[in-house]
Amino acid sequence: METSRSSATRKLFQILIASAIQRCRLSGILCRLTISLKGFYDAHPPSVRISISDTGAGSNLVEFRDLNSGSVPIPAEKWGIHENDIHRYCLNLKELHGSRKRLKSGTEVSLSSAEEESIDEFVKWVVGFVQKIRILKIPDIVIELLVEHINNHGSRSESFLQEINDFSSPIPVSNINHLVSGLEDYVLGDGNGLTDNRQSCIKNRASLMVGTGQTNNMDNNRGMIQMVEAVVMITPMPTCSCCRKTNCSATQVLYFQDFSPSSIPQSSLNALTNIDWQNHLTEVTAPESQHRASSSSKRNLMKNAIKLALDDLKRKHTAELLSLHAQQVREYVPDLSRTIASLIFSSNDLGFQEECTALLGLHSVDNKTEEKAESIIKEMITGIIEMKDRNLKRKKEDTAHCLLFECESHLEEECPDEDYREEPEDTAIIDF
Amino acid sequence: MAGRVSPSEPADLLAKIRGFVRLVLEDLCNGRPPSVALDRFKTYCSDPSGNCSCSTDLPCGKDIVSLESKSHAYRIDIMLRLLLIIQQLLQENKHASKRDIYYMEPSVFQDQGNVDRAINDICILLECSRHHLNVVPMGKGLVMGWLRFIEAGRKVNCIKNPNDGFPVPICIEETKDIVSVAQYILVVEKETVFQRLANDKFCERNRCIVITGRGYPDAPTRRNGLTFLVNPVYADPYGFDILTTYRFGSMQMAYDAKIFRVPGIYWLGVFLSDSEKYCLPNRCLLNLTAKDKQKAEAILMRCYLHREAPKWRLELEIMLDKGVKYEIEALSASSLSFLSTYIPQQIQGRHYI
Repeated sequence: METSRSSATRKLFQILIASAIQRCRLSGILCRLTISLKGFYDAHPPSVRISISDTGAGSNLVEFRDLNSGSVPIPAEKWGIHENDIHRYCLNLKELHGSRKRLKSGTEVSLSSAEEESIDEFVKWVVGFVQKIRILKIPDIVIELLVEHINNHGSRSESFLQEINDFSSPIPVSNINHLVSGLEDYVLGDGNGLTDNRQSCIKNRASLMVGTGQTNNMDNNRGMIQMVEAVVMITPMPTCSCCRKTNCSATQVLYFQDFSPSSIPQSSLNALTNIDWQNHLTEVTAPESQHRASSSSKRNLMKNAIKLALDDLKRKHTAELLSLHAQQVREYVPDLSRTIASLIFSSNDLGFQEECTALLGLHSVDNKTEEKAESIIKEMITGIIEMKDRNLKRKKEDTAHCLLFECESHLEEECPDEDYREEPEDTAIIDF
Repeated sequence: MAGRVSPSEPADLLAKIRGFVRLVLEDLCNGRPPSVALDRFKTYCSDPSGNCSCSTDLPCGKDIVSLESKSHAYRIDIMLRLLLIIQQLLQENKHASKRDIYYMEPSVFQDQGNVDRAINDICILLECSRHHLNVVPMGKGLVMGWLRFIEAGRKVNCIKNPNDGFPVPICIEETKDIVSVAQYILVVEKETVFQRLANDKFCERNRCIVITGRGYPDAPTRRNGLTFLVNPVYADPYGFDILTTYRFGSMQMAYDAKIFRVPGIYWLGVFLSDSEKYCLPNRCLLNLTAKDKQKAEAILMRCYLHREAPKWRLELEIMLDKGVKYEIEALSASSLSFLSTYIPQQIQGRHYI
């Protein structure tokens, strides 16, 4: 199904959604983004009618003409789309201005496509795509997805409306916190409201480990701020058989650009998925850049954001992130500490006891207890185990970092335009 | 060995334990995990040239036990727990058996073997023998014959009842005034053979001491047997292995092999050739199992057989070649008292190797 996945329809769909989101964000007010799919199963050939409408800031025709010279490599006929594949391409632009304030604006783009081999596959892909957008919990955008299945016997409709509660927080929340919250919901299978058959066996929000990182810099050429936000989330290893059978235990990478799902360079993807997450089901998201940036500076921003997120994660969850080996060794720490403390305090040589308590930094009489000594010894041994484990991991991470950023240059030639380069498989972005 | 080059009085050992704990703490303070360097000893290797250093009783390397792996962490954990118990035993001048120690925390120790290994580790660490730690083995051996001694102030007079078995003293250090007029000491492997000889009043008719370790001998049985001469064992690979334990010491306690081994011990029988000599019926012969063969082949590799007991090795080779074994009791098929005749005949005819 590689052909259909990289179809022009899907590429165009992504671009149209991305620009709709931009319009909504530009408007600065609560907007609705409605995606409507109508599948004509009994048509010859079967076709799907797609309508994307938003109540964001108005658009103009130039924006759509740019598509023609954009990145959709399709022979140009009308809007760069071959008549046999995609047709009835319509634009409905509304931009009404009152004398003082904007009353109403909006854009609707609709098209029909017979390019998809399977309408059901396409619908599934769109559902997944919308699901990814919802992870971002973009402030002030309500996303609605309507799907209608039409055949000779009638029609059946499905509607997925984003919970309005997502926007009811009285305190302004940063984008990255929205992302964390959305990703948590996604992992836990909560609140997405989409029937994608994805069942999550992880129910405990507290068991999720999260690290975040943000970087930004000024693009002097454009005078714009480039920003990348990264969230690394690790979930506990599922023990249920259903998760073992599925792909739940794999590392998942989500990448968003300009608040829209996009693809990440394959080398970076490989590096992230190759990190040994030590017994934890891992989900990694998502360098999210606020503005389009040049390729190399964006990579640097990504690199730093991911590194900051990983550092944050390690700082917050040192104990949980120990290797299996180190965790096994750490199980002996309480016993070892207790026994060493007992060896000191059960000795009938008081001078020896004094010497040991001094070594442990216990100077005042009140502190010279076996419990206190045990606690210090425990802390020391735990610290040593963690440090050794970190050193061991650092070597592996260095390799991963090399793959992620420094060894990319040779791949650039093969992938000149990474923004629209298709993943080899959708799972490369996410599909649980 | 170490026990004899290093002071092993309780006060010395307690000082060593404190020194070890101090080192562990210093390591921790310097960001290093607790670690123990243990000399490695062995009683044999598989070097057929015999040019190895197994017979020197010197360490042949070091094992560093640290927190590198789960198994190492467990080993250190058990070792420290044992060290704590031993510190208490030495401070209070009390004794405990290996079994007593095991039952103090059976869920932690999991297996008697883990306690045994930790005790061996501590012996190596503190350069002493097990009895110095006030850890006593479980009494297992039996003795009878022309012997009298005082054990912990109690007089044990085997001569008075030469046909009764007495427990081998557990604590050799508390055994004194040993008096014996025996001409030889006979070691038998199994208690059934011991009882057979007692039943035949063997010690009444022969001026000797008979001792058994009931299978693989325990430490006191071996330590008491320094002057023993002959040893009728099974003609099978496991019996042979027990024989080598008497003569060369066990691998587990290789660090202390020097005080446990009995280099002057002879193998009195039974030999495979005895089956023909005494017309043993074919039904008494058993085929060697795959496990037997494996065991025999492994024993044949041991360096000390090449170096010090080629005749023993030859017997094992013949057994492996013929592929059969038999139990010593089989010789009693014709007469229940066969052993009482066989043993003196073997000694008088110098049919021992």
